[in-house]
Amino acid sequence: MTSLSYYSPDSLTEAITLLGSADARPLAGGYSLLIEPQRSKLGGALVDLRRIGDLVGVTQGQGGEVTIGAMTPLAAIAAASAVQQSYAALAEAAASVGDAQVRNRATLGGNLAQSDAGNDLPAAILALGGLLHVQGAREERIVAASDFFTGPGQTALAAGELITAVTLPAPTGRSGSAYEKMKHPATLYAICGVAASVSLDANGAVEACSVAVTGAAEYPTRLKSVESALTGKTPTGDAIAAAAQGAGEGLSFRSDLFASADYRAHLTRVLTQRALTRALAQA
Amino acid sequence: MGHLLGGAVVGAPVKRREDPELLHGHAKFTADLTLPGMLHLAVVHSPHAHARIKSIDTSEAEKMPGVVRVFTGADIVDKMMRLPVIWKPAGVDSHFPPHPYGLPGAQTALATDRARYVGEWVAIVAAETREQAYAAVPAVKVDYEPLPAVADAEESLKEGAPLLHDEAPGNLCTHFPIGDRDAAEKAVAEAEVVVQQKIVIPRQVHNAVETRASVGNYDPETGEYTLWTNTQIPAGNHYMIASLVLGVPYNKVRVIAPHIGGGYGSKGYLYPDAPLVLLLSRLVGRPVKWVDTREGLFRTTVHARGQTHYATIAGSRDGKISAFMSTAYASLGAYSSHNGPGAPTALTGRSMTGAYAIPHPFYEVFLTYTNTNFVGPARGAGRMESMLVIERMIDLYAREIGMDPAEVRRKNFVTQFPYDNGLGWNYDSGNYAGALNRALEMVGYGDIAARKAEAHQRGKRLGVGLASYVTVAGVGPSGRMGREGLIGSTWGNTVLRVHQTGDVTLITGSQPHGQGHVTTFSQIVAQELGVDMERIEVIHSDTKGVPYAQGSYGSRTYSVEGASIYESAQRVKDKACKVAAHLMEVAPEDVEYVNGKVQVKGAPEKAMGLSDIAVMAWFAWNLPQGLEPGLEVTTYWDPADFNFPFGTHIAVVEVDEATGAVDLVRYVAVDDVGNVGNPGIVEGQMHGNIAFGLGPALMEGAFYSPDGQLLTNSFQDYAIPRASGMPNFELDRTVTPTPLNGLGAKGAGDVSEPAPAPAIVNAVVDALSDLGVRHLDIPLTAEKVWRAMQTRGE
Repeated sequence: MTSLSYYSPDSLTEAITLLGSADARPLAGGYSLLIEPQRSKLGGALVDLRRIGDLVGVTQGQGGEVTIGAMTPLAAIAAASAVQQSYAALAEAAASVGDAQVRNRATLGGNLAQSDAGNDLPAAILALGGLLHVQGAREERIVAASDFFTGPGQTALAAGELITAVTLPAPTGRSGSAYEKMKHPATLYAICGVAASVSLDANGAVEACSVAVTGAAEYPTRLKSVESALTGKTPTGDAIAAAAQGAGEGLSFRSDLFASADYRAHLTRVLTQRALTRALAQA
Repeated sequence: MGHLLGGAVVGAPVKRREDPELLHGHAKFTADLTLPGMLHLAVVHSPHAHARIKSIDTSEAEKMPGVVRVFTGADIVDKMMRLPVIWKPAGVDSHFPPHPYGLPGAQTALATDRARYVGEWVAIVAAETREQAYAAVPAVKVDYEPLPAVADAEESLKEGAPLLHDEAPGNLCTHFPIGDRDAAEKAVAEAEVVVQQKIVIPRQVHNAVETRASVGNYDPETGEYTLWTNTQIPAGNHYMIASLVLGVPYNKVRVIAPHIGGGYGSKGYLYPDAPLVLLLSRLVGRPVKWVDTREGLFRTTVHARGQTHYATIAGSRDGKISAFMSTAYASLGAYSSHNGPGAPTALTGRSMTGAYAIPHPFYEVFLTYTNTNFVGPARGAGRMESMLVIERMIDLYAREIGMDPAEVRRKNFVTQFPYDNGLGWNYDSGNYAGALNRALEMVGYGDIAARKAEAHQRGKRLGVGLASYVTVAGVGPSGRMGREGLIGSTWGNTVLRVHQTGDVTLITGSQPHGQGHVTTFSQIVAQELGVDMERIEVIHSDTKGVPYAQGSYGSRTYSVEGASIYESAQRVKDKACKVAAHLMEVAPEDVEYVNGKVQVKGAPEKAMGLSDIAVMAWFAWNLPQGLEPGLEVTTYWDPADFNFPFGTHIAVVEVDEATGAVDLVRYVAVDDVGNVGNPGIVEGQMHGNIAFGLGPALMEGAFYSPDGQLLTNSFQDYAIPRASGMPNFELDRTVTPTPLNGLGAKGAGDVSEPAPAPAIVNAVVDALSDLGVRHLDIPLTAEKVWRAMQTRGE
């Protein structure tokens, strides 16, 4: 039998201190940690973050950037007007997670830190150039989303560190974003999810383009070849299609009973094209 | 609510009387039960599909905290019999492990020398808490010698396949043919058009929200065994456990089914846990409780379906079908369930020709043993398989001759009733074209071409698929069931008691597990006796002190148990009339029972109310000569035959041209279950049937690797439909009463479950037809459909 200590601190400082012990784990929404069979394997200490009010909320900074607390529920993110207006890819990704019950409880920080290959939010945060605020015992640091997901089930978080918030840079000029997903019939995770974020210059050419995939590959990742193929181009349907053809090049894809690696590679191309098309339509 | 004076209670959408307790969360399920001193059980499952058990070392586990004892097969083998099989297909040889009473045998509750499927129970830990019991499971050391395994029915029959049972050479349990093979083959040989297709129907797991659970208590003072378990057949469990497994007196066993969190047929079985908890309670001297896990459910709660058909349809160029043949392969699993042979033999086979008058039908099935969990009837039992096959074949034939699939159906429907379908069913009544025409009208069948063109503009392929079904229901006429091979009975029974106060107690042999029997049955009594529903109590699901009964399965409850209630009410009214006529000093033939009163014909002001009659019947101061006191009847009502509900469902799908994803955009269902008791409840059943049916069409399937590892062990790998993924259901009913019971009602529970799969497959194939795709096997996952578009059906 394992024994489990449960802590429910009301400040971040206290939480970080508690998380300093080797066998402590943070508890956010609990959908990954508290379901069977994980629950029966739990030992040591659980540090429940739900009483720390500072970690919840969506705030817009003076420069137009938006910062979302790590404990903000996905339903609140999907419903936040600041997110819907400027970061449609994130609103759509958050709205696509699980069901209403899950979205009311699962959190931004949990969805990123837990790093399941089929989580939706990583693609959106990658494409939108999110900056993760990471708090450890000694320092607070900022980690770019593109540096955060480092391998299958792996992130840049060190032991004892927490994501406290994510800042999304202010959109510039004519911009848009979108998230396209095929849901896994069993889990509702992404078999393949692609987020695209674009901005256009004064001439209508693609000034910046950021595309990321989740679910299909071993871990959430940017689709750099798509980005470079489209940047500087006039985004015609043909140009989008041509760029999307390169989606997933060099990646290795996951496979299960419902979707083979080949099919996920195909979906990555199809959903890239669709996400880019919708993102550009907003710009 | 009061009954509607002068109006109908039966047929009204009365709100369910049982809901408040459930909706408020106060209903108690088996897992909620705690008895003083109760121990908790955890099962050690075989991880191997096939292995010799060389030894089991329980010593380490028995030292673990809280562990009281670990039981193995050796501890119980001389204390309980192998589980029985009570369905031995009649007229054919069959091969089962032997049960001591000469019956066919199923599995032993715990494996002894060999484990034959992944999940088979090998040992069981009894501990003070559930957590302690599960913690000790890994410490039970089982030394296995893995053996070759086979998971597929056709493979299991091949030369050199691993053998499961000495008693079943070549792994064949039985070969079951029905119909005239020679005549069918001749008709096929002479036909203008012959279409053949292999159709594979994977296994389905009828996942109830509540897993199985049992609590057993043996009382050494009285020698009584009490079992609380979530079974749909409490009396069946009682009989089999007492007489065929434990070998104890029938009247020393009591089975109680608390509230049940969904059954869908999957709880209509005798499972090993039920007798085992009683035996273990006796051996440890304390109550014991077992609650399954979801993984346990996937591995060891019955699987449904799992058939491979090689089907042939033959007919003329102008759309008249002359013959239909199918050869099927179906695995029983490693052992038969207690009624395992039923679905693939009678239920599938006799239903094979569906709604059509086909002169020359033939069906055969090879039932085999494989290293898999056992298979048995569950919602849509056997008929989902036959309806999928016949409805696919109808569409393939229509396509071959270039005729509209609706027209082919119309041309071949059975129109004269009763109708002997040549495979053993006698269809009671129907109007198949009526349901089809109504469904076509609702879906706007004439506009489909325009809608296909519109969808194409959006990158979607639109398809429309029909399924006209007939499903056997109202199980069943006992003699007929006996001749089929059932070792048991299937009548309905009721005790109906009008107390001296006029309050009513109804004891039913059915077993409600969510269907609202209490409400529907109350409606019958309220209407017939003219009593407020609040004054009627319905007792069920406890075998102590009540007659032997059947339970709930096979869409039998309303048309068989309900019919027995109707008959009981007539008999109560007859007696009330005799008592009242005597007291009012008029001739019995001069009174009539009208709305809770017995009144003199032509002089309704001269009347006695039911409670006044009841008190005089019970006090018995002045009864007619020879009439016994009391106002109570017991009715055993055996239907003359099965009844045959029918209908047409139409699916409209859109297939994403780039991804293959299937979106079910419309679903029209026109069902005919005869007269209905509570249309709200029937509509709920129809919703459930569509949800259950679209699952295997689009996503569900339990799959084994060739060597018998279950690949779909959890909700990570096994998809079930969610409310959020369903379209709006567009429902209607036609009403064609059955002549077979006083209610004119047919079964409704699972009768339309077979329709969605063929409707949806037909729709997707229709959407892809111009690519050359003729057939797709379920489930139609996005990738499968995408690949079909890539290969153009090759």
